[in-house]
Amino acid sequence: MFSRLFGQFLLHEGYVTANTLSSALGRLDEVRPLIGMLALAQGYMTPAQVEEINEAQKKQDKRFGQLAIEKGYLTVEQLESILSGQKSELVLLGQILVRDGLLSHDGFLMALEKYRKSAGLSEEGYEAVKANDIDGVISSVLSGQPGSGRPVAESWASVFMKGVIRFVDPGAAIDPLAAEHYRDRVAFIQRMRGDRSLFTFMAATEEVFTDLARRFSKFEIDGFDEMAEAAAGEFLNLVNGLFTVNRSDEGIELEMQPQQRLTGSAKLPVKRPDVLLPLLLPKGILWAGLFLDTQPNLS
Amino acid sequence: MLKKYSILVSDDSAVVRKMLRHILEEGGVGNVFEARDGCEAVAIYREHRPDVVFMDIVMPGKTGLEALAEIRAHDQSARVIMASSTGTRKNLKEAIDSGAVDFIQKPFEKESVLKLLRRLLEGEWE
Repeated sequence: MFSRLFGQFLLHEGYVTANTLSSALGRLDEVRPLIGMLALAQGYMTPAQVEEINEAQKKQDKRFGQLAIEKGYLTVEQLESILSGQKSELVLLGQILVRDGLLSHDGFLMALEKYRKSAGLSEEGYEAVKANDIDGVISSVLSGQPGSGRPVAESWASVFMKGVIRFVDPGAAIDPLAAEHYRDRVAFIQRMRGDRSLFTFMAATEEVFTDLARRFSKFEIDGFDEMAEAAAGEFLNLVNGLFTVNRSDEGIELEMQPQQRLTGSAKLPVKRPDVLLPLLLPKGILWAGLFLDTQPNLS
Repeated sequence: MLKKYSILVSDDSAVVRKMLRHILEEGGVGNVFEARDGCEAVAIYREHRPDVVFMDIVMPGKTGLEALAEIRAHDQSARVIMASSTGTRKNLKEAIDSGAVDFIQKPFEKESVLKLLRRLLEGEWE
């Protein structure tokens, strides 16, 4: 099962109707996340505990967090972690549906667990991803790069690498010693705009892209022809699409521009990218790169 | 079971059209039409009235949402599934508000596509 938005999942699984979903999505910006819903989503509290505190709040003029700590349902650290956490559209959507009486706390938790399972990796790449601790590998590769320590950059790099493992080659690995000749290679670029501005690219030899296209599309592709080009471009589109889904669940909206292959004399920017990943595939290195919050000119 | 139905696949990417056609044909769909952009999609819909349309959102020229609006204006009962690699809240809401019956995330996964079609066409919930 592939990544999709929580709202989409609720619709597909019959939890909500299209109209209900549309109305709830339209109100996301109006609501503030409730501690109880966040605690539920984090697995810190059970639905029964959340409901108990909600009831207690009707009788006592105390905050949810304070009551939950007094009862021993939350630790101070857990509350701090909830308060400092990122805005989660997933929780807000659940919260609206619970408030409207369309889902119970139990129902929300069950839907969330089912969603997380279905949104996770379950294809052949799953074991490889698990075995390789991708996020650990990414953070070590990025150390020393401008994007190091920047969550959006690290997250994009992680989604890209997982995409390669999942859709192209379960045995793909990072080659930290690869010589950086990516600017001389065939390149595909894709920009994303919205709450952030991103410029993504991948570069490789025609042979690497042909092999990637064949593995990704599962079609017979013998050379770097129109179909190979379309499949390679679609792969970048797909990875960036998965990235926008993850970001959207965290409240960051990004619009993808159509991906394009650089042709003629246009070359990737000279400026050093915030992320540059050398991925070792069966036919050679696939370079994946990202410029964050800038739209560098092609040179 | 899906043999009696016809499906229109509208996407500017040749490889995406081919991948989806492959899934549909393997799933036993009787007739698959292809459109390369929104204009072609509207024209093919008017001529053949397919049972379901898979419509990419981002296409050059006429976008998927524009084509959806035209198709719905022509036929209120049209069943159009919006498809996109980008899954933002805005896309999802726009698609539903414009009358799409569902929204599907690329890449197309055989089981999800066929399950969705069986639900829409045969009323089967699994």
